[in-house]
Amino acid sequence: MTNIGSTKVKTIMERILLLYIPLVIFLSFIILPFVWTGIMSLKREGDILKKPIKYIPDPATFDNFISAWNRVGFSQYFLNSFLIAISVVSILIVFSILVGYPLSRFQFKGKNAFLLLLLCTQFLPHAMLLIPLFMTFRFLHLINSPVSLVLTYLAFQLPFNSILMTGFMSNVPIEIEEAAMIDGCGRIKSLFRVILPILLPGVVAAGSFAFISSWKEFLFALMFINDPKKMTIPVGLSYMMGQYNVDYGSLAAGSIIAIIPPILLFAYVQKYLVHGMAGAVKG
Amino acid sequence: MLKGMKRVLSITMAVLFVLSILMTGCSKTDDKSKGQQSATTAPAAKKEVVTITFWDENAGPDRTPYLQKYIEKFHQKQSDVKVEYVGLPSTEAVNKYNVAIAGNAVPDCGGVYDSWLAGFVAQKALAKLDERFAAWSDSKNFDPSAVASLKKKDPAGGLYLIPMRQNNSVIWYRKDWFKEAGIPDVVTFKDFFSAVEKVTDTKKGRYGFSIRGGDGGGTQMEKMLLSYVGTDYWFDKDGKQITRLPEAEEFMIKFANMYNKFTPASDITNGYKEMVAAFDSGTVAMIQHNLGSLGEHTKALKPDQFGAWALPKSDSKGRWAYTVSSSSGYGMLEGSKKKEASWEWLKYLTSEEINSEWTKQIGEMPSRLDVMKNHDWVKNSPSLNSLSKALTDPKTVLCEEPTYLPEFNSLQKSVVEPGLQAVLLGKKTPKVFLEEWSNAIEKSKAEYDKAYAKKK
Repeated sequence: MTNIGSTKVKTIMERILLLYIPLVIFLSFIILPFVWTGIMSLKREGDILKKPIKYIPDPATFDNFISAWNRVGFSQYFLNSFLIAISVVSILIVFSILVGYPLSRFQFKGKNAFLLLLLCTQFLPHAMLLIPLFMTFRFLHLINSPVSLVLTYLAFQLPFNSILMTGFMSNVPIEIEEAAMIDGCGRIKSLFRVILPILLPGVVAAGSFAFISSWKEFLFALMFINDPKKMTIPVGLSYMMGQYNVDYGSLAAGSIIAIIPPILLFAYVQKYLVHGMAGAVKG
Repeated sequence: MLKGMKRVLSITMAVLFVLSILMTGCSKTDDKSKGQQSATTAPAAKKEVVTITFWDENAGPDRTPYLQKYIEKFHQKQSDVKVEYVGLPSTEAVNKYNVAIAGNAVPDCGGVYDSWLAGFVAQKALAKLDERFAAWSDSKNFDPSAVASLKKKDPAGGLYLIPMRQNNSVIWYRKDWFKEAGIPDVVTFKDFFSAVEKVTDTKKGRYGFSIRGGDGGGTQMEKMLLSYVGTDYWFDKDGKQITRLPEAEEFMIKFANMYNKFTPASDITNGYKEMVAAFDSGTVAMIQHNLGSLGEHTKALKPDQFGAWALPKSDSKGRWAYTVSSSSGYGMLEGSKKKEASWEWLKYLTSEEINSEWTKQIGEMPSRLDVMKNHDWVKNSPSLNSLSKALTDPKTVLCEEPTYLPEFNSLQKSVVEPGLQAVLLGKKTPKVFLEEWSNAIEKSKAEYDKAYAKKK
């Protein structure tokens, strides 16, 4: 009994020392900046830089959130960012499936070269394309229109997501599709009715990355949009830092508002994401 | 099966349709595109209304409402010009300008920092204002030194901006700590270095000074170096920079000796925000910065807790030596097709009433002499008075910092800032750093002089 008891204690101690403590340290390291931003967002303006540092906001205030949402215009920025990100994700998923399918199922001339080309687009620094894109959209009268951002984000993200989708699809045995075809399914029907449900984790993974990339993008959103009513969250945040003044309270509150959708999204899609990424790696 | 597939396709199409409607709804302003030079005019009614686009180079919730108020007032005064306001975040404004210039989609007019001016002039992006300014009856009310400093940015001496504000360095200090420790006001560098030592109390977590060792630290330090050396020139007759003088090395040794002894160790990477935060949070007793940070200090400290002194007097020369105040202003873009309307707006924006209200709001020195003379808030502002006292002292000498050199900014990043950090960390001696800096800037000056001589 004593031996069993001591072994149990030893096992628990081992788990605490080797698992829980490192995990807590790791988590604290990651989460501390977010916690500090949250604390700062709840402080009154005069308390933010005051010494001694107040680790718990006393009194706590939501004024910074109200100011960021109403006065600074985050309600509008939030809506704009959301619409742009959702548009990108919706279109991107459809197109990346349509590109990924033939790449995973067919052998054709130039396939490897095409894949290499898709990969090469990822090596281009986005800033390098800023002026050519600006001139193109100006010619198309799309400067100051969110459509320019949707097109840009799609163009940058489609190659990577297509490669990702090719990997996911290669993991789906072709026999399943063939069985569906024997049962009378056409190619398109089997793609959407048979392959797509199996691909769901991969689609979620690709969609999440596309959403986050669109949500946080700053450079093109700043350069292509002039009207404050059409600006996105990252651009809105940059207005909190003037040449000589920084509105730390609203900046912190705005940052918290900005990270809520990605956090909720990841909390919801986490299980799919793990499956999806595992699938991509296997492929 | 087919039904199900149709449903999937229908839902996808519906989502895309709704999104496209929403996006189009957001983007229906193609012809009103702000930042474009569309010749927007009202339908041929009673009066033709010209719409101009104005870019604010430093927008934010504290400043934008004021500019929008001025626009409203201007619309009431001048009904045939409509100003469309576009605010730019300060940190990215110059990049946005550069992309607009490269893409030939410039605004009609906007705010421009003097540090961008040389680059914009070289790109021929701004419209020359000399003739309009000379013909304007109000032009005599502008501070000639502000106008001259802007003209200096063009090798040909042209005027491209109407000055709006002037700025220069002061020493912000904790009035309450100095009073508590019984330390007298800082007038000379001897006082300054002695005060830094005396006011430091590491047990209380108080340091005497905060050095801006990171971004922007070079230009800030060199203003202090000039004050220490006390000369009225930046380059001597042979084109040698003041950093070759023995006093410059003396200054660098004393300056670097403060680091990590009377300053926080984190100063090595301090940018503006970190340095001001150190002062406003009660970590340091003094910082060197211009009048622009007044707003930040006012938010964090009570009025009787802080004050401003002019930069210390040179001990060897017994006088104040200052760089010519930097002057930012408003200009018109060369690509604008609505220069007349833009000029009317710029005249209004730099008028006595607006210049006074605006510079009071941002806490900086007005660019107009009538505002300096006639407006009470200028006389009653302690920080402005300290600076103004130094700048108007008959013995004070002013000197032009070579910001007009095209390589000035890049040398700051490649030579001065890393060199300063190396000196603070003891990895480089002040002598070696000053030598490297002198060589680099003198070479740039020689090339500039050569190119300018060719143009002439």
